[in-house]
Amino acid sequence: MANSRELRNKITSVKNTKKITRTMEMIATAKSVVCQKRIEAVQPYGNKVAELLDDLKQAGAGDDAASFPLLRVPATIKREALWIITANRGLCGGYNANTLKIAENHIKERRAQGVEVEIHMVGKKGAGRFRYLGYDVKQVYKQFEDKPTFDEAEAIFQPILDRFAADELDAVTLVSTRYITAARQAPDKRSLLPVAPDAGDDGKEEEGGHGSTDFIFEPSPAAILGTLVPLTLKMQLFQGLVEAAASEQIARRIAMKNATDNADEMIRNYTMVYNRTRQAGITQEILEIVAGVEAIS
Amino acid sequence: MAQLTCEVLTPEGTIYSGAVDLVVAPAADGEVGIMAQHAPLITALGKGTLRVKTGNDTTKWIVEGGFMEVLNNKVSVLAEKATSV
Repeated sequence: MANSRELRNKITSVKNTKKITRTMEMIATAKSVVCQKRIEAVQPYGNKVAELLDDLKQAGAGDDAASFPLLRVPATIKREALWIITANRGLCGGYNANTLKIAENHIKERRAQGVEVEIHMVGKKGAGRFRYLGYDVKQVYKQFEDKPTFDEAEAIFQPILDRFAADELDAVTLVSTRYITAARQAPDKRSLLPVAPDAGDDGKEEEGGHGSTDFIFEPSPAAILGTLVPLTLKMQLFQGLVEAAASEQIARRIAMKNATDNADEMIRNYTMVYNRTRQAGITQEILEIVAGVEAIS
Repeated sequence: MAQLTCEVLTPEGTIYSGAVDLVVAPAADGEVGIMAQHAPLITALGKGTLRVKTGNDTTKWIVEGGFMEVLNNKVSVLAEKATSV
């Protein structure tokens, strides 16, 4: 049986670890609330932009797709940019691993089809893992923490849009964790480009449906579409970043809660063993005294 | 007189929402003023000052890029960037 000093040390160390995980849990809880508020703040803009896009399609602005480089649909896909959103930090359970698993499968699938995949990685954790696996990561973005801004998202995504427009890329895919509800987040893969011709928006269904309204378009439907399409795409990446940030905090909260619960249980078990050895020691000493007394008398 | 409602949205959140009398926005080719009963309109925005007038109060923002939609006495300004003045 382990000696009592060793056990005492173990209990103290587990208690210290528990303090840390408990604090991290509370921090993650606070951050996740902030992130969730951000998701709600971002949503109206995203919905409105999608609505506008629908209105424009109704007005027939996209009929002449050839004049919009961003709306081109390549006959064959030869080069694809894959965006993966992971966290900068670990200790968040399977959050990074699950996202990267989807990304890896996607890369394998695409490579088998003879598509050249260039990897854009958001977050240190994913970059580290892919370096270890020997993937060639084209670019790593580490600047995103729990509050991504639209400007930052725009800055990194604009070059990609330009290259798609210039025929250098044929597809853009985004792998990230989607925030479905506060209790459910799941990693997911979405294709951003090429824009599917009228495949119905994968966004929300229109509720009211005022698509038939006769809008006046200034300066022209085509001109508006020309600026709206890049905005929609940037918005999709931005929403992806915001949702991923919230999901990360929630994943960390859960991971840290489990760690704290485990620490509790470990402390309980060790304390029980400690008390038992202490008791055994006392019993032993009494037996020795009694035996000694008996030997004298 | 019919009431006009206005909301100003940026990618990072709603920055204004309420009943207003007049919205003056910098469209791509010049300023447009919107009052109640305006016909449905979608316009691209340029760079400039967005003014929202309620009674004697005027709220201003510098906006850059984005869109404005007018429908059923509701003005939605979707600015790519907006800073209040």
